[in-house]
Formats: sequence, C-alpha cells, structure tokens
Amino acid sequence: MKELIELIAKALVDNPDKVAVTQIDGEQTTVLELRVAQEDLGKVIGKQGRTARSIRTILGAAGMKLRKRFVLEILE
Amino acid sequence: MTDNQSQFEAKTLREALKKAAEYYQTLPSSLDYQILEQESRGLWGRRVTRVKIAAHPKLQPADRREPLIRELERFLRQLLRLMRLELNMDIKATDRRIDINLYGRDRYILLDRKGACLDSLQFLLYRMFLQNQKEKKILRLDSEGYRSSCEEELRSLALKSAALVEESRKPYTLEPMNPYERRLIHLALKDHKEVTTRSEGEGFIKRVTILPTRG
Repeated sequence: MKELIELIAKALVDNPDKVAVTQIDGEQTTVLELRVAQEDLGKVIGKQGRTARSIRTILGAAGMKLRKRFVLEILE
Repeated sequence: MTDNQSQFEAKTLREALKKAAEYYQTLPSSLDYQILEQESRGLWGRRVTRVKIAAHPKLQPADRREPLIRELERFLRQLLRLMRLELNMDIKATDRRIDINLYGRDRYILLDRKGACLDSLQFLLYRMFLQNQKEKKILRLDSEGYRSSCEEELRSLALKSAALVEESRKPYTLEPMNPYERRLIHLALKDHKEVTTRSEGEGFIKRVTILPTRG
C-alpha cells in the first residue's frame, strides 16, 4: 500500500522528491505515514481536508479487497 | 528497449504471459513479447523450467489521443493495479469533457457507500490532471450507468418531496448532499410553481430545504 500512497501523493505535490511514506504493519491495522514538503502540506490535505479524505477513501477501498484496515497519517 | 518493469518470469511461457497480462491489465493475446532467458532440463532439454520474457501491450494503431488523456489513462491503470482492483476502463474524450467508464469484477468496491470511491477517484484525478489546465474540462467517472441511475433517483426524490411540501405547506429538509447532488435537486424543482429550494449549512456538504412558495 506504500506504493499506492506514494503514487497519489507524488501526483498531487510540487516536490515529488520530498514525498516519503513509511508503512507500519500491525496485526489488524497497517499505518501509513505520509511526509511531504512543508509547502505541499495543503496539496495533500485540500480545502476542508477533502483531498486527504479522498485518499483515505481510496485506501479503504484497497483494504476491502485485501480484508485489511489501513490508516493514513499525514505528518507535519 | 526493456526495463525491469516490463520483464516477467515464470515456470512456463504461458504463465509468464499471464503475469504480464495481469500487470498491464490486459489479455495475453494483446501483448507483444520476446523471450530473454530460458532454462530447461530433461532429455534434450525439452522441459522448460524457467522462462524470462520482456512484454508490453501491443501498440494500438495510431494512438493519436491527446498526451493528457494518455497520461491520465496510464496513471489510472497504475492506481487500480496498486489498489488490486480488477477493473477495465473505457475513455471517451471530447474538447469539453472526459468520460471514463470503469467496469468489471471489483465494480462493487467503487460503488460501496454511495459511490464514495468513484467520487474520490474522480476528485483526485481532476486535481492532478485538469485543475491547472487553461481550458476547463469536465471529468466524469462512472460505472455502467451508475451515475445516471442515481440522478434519476435524486430527481424523483425532489419531485416526491416537493409534493409533500405542497400538501403540508411546511418546509422539508433533505439529507446532506454534495454540490453536484444539490444542483440536481435545485434544477429538478426550478420551474415548480408551489415550492422553492434553498441550500443550508456550511462547507462542501450542505442540505437542501424545500419551502412552499406561498404562506
């Protein structure tokens, strides 16, 4: 799932080389931590968090297929 | 010219082609391939034990579509692959709009929770590919007529609710909706003589209230 978040984040930001995703696998839940350049933070969050919500929905849909729960954390 | 991404390895040629077809989300018959390495065992080396091929989808004759559309399609294919969704797509593009139809086995995942995933994909693709373009285009993702049937439902909801308001003479508030859905409600009742409509609330998701025109 790390690659999925990387693909989406890189397409949204101005500094794709500053995109970093860490995947922390848990028994039931996998946490994905997304870091982007400070000035790109708004691009992955969006107005009223709409972009972040869309990314989380997509992650949830991908999880449905794998029967796993994924959580996206956007780190500042 | 081959890179690592277009190389596939398996025990038999058929399996290698199947892998390649899965990767490109196409059929083995739509691939061009070349055998790179082959290991065999047995008498006269007849039994192939490992085969490595380079494969890519056959070039479609004269893909004269806009680079933007090609890029969008490539991106979406890659996204669906990483989501492990088995879906096919048709893209129709004109100067003013791009229509993408997604269909196949995992369609139900897109449509789960009132098409949440379909909406999210549509929103993200618009932001990535169209928001900064000079000429504004509409991007619409659909799955086998799902949206048109939703539109039909919203229109009939609008008319039924209007009839209710007309009879009771009391305002009636609908469920929270996104701008696109609200627009459909407003449009459906635009010429209705007995009621008017108004959006209430803050932000992206608001509710439409239907009010009687006269006391």
